[in-house]
Amino acid sequence: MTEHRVGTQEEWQARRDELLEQEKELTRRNDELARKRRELPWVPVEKEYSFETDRGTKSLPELFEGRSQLLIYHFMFGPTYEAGCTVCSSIADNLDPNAMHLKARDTTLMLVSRAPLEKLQAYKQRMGWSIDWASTAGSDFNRDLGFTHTEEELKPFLEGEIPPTVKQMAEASGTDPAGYVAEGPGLSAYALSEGAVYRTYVTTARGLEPAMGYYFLLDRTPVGRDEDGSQPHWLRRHDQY
Amino acid sequence: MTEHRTGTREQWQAAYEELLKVENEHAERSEELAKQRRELPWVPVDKEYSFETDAGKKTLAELFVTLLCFSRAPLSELQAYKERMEFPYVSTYGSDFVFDFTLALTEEQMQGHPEVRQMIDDPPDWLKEWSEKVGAPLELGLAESPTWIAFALEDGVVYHTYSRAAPDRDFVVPYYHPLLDRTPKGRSDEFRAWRHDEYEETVR
Repeated sequence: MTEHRVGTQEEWQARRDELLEQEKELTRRNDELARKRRELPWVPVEKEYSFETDRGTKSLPELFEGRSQLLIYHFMFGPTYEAGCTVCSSIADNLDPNAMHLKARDTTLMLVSRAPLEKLQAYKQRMGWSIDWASTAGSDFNRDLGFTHTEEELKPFLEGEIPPTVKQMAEASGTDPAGYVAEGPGLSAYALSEGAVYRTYVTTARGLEPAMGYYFLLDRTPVGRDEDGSQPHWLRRHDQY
Repeated sequence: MTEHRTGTREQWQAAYEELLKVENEHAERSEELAKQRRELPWVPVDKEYSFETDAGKKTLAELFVTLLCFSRAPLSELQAYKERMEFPYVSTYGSDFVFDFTLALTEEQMQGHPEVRQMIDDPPDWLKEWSEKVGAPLELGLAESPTWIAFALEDGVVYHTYSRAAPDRDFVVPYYHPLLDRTPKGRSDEFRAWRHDEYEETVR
């Protein structure tokens, strides 16, 4: 017998109707929040950055590929990594098939990482993705957004007790904790207007959850994310389940 | 020059920090709702349903393997479409399942929705186009209702735990909308997604 409360269809419906009102309210707030995001001031990106891509060295405006918006996922794959971060890989699984729907909306969606392009290309092939992935090797692009940390910044963290999750994640990516945490995940958005690039939005940490489609779905299942239970680190690369 | 307000990185940061408070509140509220969803009573599903799958006829309890798509068309049609689109698919053809869980409306139920009747009688352009794309007249096409539905299986008993039907667009199109919501222009109401093999080569 389940420990969960069991009810009749009528009881469920009554509770569900109440919840539906709240869900709708949350959707409206979400629309409002999206509007506020669009009201953020656009910041001109005046610095020149260069990116290594499958089609050669490109500038930031060139990454738009003729579209007016650019959405970049900062994928944790540092120079010392042998494989991409597991969680970022699960995010890229979600992003990859959606890139074309965004292109249809005048938006280029792509990944950037600090590892050399050859490593990214090999890993992309392993994962079967077709999304564009540029290397920022030799560029300050990630650093300027706060998604790359120096040894000095990390010193207090690395001298303390390293959490088991970090050790586990570093090992899964074929690097040590210092190499692993030098990278941080993030999402950044840009507009291209009359030849000038503007940065419009940047987020990290739980701000990335909208890119993690599985959480959205798990939040609608009976048990939910259930990450406090026996399997707090359940995510694997899709070829390792 | 863009018509949008521009600013320095510091101005952006200050505006963003205000926004971040609202984003965090929103995330907390989402968590609260997820908790409330888990607190909905579970309703035992006593009726026996059977589904046509690639692996033969299955009961509801036997479907507990994965995230699935249900449709009412015969399996042969779904198989052809699935091969084209690549997703897991089960047919509810000939089963009451869809009507019992309001994943589709019977003719009689449709009478009770004057707004559906009105859409059939005077369809907007996008709906006419949609009808052509699915190859079914609106009387039949609009009988289907896109829905998320969740079940639990415990000790051999299946419980219905959650349903959420259209027209809430976020629930039907869960992924690229949140991404577009983070771009400068945002999503747009006139945007209509195509099937992924129908985009022009420049997009693919």
